Amino acid sequence: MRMKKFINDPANLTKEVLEGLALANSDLIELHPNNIVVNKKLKDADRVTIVTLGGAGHEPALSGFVGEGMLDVSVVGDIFAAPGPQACVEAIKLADKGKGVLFIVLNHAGDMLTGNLTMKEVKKLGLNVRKVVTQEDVSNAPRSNADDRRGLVGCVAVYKIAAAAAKEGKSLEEVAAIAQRFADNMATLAVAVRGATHPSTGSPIAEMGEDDMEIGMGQHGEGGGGRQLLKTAKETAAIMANGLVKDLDLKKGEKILLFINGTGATTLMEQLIIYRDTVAYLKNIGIEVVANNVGELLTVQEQAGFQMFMARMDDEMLAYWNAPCYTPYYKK
Amino acid sequence: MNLEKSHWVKMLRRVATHLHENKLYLSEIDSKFGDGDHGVTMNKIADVIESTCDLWLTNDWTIAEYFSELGDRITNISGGSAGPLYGTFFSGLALEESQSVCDASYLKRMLNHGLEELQTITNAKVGDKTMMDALIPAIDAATSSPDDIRILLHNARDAAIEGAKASEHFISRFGRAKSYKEATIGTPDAGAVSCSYIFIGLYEGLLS
Repeated sequence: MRMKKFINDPANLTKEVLEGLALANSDLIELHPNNIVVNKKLKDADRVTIVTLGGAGHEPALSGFVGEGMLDVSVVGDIFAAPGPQACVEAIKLADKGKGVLFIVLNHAGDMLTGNLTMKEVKKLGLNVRKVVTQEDVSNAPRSNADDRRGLVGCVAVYKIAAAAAKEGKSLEEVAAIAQRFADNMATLAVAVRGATHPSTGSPIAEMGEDDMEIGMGQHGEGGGGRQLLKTAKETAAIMANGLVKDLDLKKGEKILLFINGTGATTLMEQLIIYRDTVAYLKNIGIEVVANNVGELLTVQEQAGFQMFMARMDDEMLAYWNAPCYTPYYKK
Repeated sequence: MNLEKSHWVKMLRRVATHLHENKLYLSEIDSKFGDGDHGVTMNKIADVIESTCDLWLTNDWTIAEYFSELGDRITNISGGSAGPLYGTFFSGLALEESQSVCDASYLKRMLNHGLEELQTITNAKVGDKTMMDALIPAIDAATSSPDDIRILLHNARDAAIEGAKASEHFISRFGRAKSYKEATIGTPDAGAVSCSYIFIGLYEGLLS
């Protein structure tokens, strides 16, 4: 598959996408040196603040969620590549308003290395930082081996929950505990029907057969097992919902947050049909969807497919989820 | 012979040349089970090696000061896992007993210290299909060589090349490729191959 994208020099992709994001949302965010995206209202924050790190190329994630009620600072590396620890330490120092910083890291090899090196350094500096890792991809490891589970779209929900708890004036320990409890009760499965190209190199990531889909695709088309013939929306929704319900051990009467997250080249039409079929499947087994998002939150270039995300909700979590937020790509 | 700044600069520049020249190949093997940008990252690392060599020629850093600077810069290039991994290894080459000239025993201690530092951030072992497949055999070969820099680097190079080749037969246990399990057999690990270029470059630079 030949790459066909509207870009300039591939070496400048990250810089240019962040400049575009900052220009388009100059009322909400500002771009600092070293690819650090900052909530414009951070300077007035008298609360725990939220910092994350990750590669570019997944727009609107992660930096599209910087703003009031979600992220205070996002540290961006390069396309699909983590930033270095120095920029993260700088970001944490910038974010710390005296109440401590929650540092949210997705479980990917590079992100984790940088996250761990950053934590080592901020401890040395005596900063008050707690790290929460999102690792909710059920496809490549059982729940008992969560360290092998990748972080997918669930991070976006964790930003929202943690920030809402922080906004209530909770302490860093409390915010971290709430974010962790939410993260422990979430699960995601990704499916792909067509791979993407790496925008820096033009090389394909995860080529698929014409008639195939793969359930368990991970974030960047890493793959994870279930390659099979393409099925209908209803059948696909049932397979994936069943996998998540089993993993979360959801029982009749429980309430969930449900995302259908398009990964770049699957239409909103398809996502809405999948959502409809998932809700119907869940209703049939007595599980209620109390909150949702259908649309693109975290993409993988032009990969066709979607991530289905579920999180167990109680009244407290639902209140955090429904709290107001105002960021470039998520507003409530 | 002992290694002075002028030797190191030649050796490191040769490493950078190999990494530049193999940018496309490294990305290509990485694209099988990774995201296909290892060549891009190693190319950035090569740029850092070259720019820090230029700086070293204009100042009076000791060997340890140089590697400490190099390692910090590599760790912070925004290069996914390879940045922190190679950065930590190079930072680890900086020994506390800082010298301007290094003999074979000092070089052995440097290499082993680099590996020890790297092992504080990763548990990967030989056979896990990572850079360790080349790095650990290279450092073992260097350590068990006589105290002669030329022989030591020659043996390290051979072991690194062998190790990178052997990575073809392993199942990936780290990073993005891990999910593909047995399918990764038959493709060498991009990190092991890039690591072999480092030892090839060091040896060739010494001879040049």
